Amino acid sequence: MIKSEYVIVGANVAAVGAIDGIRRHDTKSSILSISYEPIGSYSKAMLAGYIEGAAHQWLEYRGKGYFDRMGVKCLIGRRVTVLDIEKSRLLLEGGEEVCYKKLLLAVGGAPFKPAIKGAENKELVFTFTEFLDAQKIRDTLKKFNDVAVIGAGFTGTEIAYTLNKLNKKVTVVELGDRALVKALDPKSSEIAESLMRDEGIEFYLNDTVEEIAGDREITGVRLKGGKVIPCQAVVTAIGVIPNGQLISGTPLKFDRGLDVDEFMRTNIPDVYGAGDVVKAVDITDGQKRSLPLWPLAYQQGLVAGINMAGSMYPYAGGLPMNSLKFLKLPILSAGITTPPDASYETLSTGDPKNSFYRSLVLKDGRLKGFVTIGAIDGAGVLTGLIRSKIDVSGIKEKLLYKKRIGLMQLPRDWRNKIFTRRDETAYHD
Amino acid sequence: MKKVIIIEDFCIACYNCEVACVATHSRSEDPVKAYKREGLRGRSNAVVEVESPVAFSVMCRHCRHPWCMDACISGAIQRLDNGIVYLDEGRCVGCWGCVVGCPYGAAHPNLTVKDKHAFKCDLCIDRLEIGLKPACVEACPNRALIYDETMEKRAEVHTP
Repeated sequence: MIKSEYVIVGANVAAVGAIDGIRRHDTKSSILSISYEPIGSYSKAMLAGYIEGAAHQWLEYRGKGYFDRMGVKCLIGRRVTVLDIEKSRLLLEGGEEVCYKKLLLAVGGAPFKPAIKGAENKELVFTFTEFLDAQKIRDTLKKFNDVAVIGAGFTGTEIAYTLNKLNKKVTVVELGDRALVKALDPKSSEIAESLMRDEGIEFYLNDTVEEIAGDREITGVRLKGGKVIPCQAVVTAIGVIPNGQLISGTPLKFDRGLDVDEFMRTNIPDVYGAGDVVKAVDITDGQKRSLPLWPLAYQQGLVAGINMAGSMYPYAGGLPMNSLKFLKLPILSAGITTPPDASYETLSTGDPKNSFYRSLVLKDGRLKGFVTIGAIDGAGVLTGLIRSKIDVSGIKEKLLYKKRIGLMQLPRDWRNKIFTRRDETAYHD
Repeated sequence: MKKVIIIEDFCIACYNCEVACVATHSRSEDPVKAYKREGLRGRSNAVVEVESPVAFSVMCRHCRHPWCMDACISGAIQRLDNGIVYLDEGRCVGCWGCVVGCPYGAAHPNLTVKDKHAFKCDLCIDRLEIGLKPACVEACPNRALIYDETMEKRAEVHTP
């Protein structure tokens, strides 16, 4: 039997955040991180680079020595099969028992897999969310030339772009009427799409894959609209949903995400949650939802860790942020980019060649979201304005038209606090 | 922790801080060579903003909890034991998470080269190690940039 003061199920970014948080207040107690994945802690956001040929060591997020340095023991390649809340213990595959005083569930998300006829028992049907997926794609790259990607969200477009770069013929099929609907507004979706079309990626919008044809080897996909696209491989990238596998059957509250309060506590004492598995507050509308995004996973982990070590430190809420790093023109967005109703004000500008585009979404004079393409230096100032909720109605034109946004437009007092004070960011615990 | 404190009332928009920053982070450590031969134009970690008569230079605030670090997917941005928020350009993959995350616009994208990466102020860590002040502070002719404890510990510093 293994005993540890703190046990973290998971080893990626939320777990790293939690380790940072715990160690701010508790440098002595034992921490154990358990992950079923074969390579331990790594950056899921860089998996595309692994498919392109980078060594897996390149994916190491905090470097090799991080866990040792932080005094964390790891069980890598070990799967937790049972969570026994009553006895404060976990069972690992093989039956080994792990007892905890405080537990963090940082088990992440799972790819949402739609029921598609013919998807079973085929080697070249992939998802793209974790290392094993990336490894599978990388190992079988030679076996296909044409690939259909289902879903034009962030993951779908990234894998499409990556495979296209590796000289595959890529077709993206998206049920919605545009790509990247969560991250972008209609005009910027159009720009992103045309950037990808320029690279040779084909799009079928307002359509979906009804059947993956072929016996063992894929011969093509048949779309609802009737079209048949010949291909030898399929990647489903419809989205990531909180992974409830370990949680079902326990008294933990889970409804499309592990329910956590502002201190990242679940409904069970001494059990915390962070990362893609949880449903936490989105600051753009105050609602709890699953936001499977990198920075939020780190922040939630950090807050959970600080609180596991005995503090009562609130999560500031998550702000959706996106960076489409793979495109030729950089595209950044944050917050609400497509207004849900008429109470929002939208401003946009761009040049005819689409080398620059920006849109701002405001409500009651407050910035709620933005997209900026081409000119991105200083875009974080806009993100800061969303977080700080200050009235920007007097400066909105400048925020829209000035290519490099600086602090000049912000209220002098606000700016001077930043210039002279120690720290104005959240989480200065 | 000592940081670069910005006193906007004293800034005369001379851009000496930008030049000094580029020079000290160049191979030649010579401003003219850095701009003309090393292609470092636009690579200053301190950025002067001017809307006459107001002017000031902005560089990384070395936050205790840096938003840029949360957003960094490669682990290139880390907070060192001495409090410096350090971006290892060699490990940066150019995801621009820090650019969209930093509320002060102090993490900059280098979009001009093939090998895209972000860059930001390192508080002149190499200079500090040998007892010098950050280059921008040393170059500032009017003490609009000072290297010192921040306001909470130094109430006598003049600001409005």
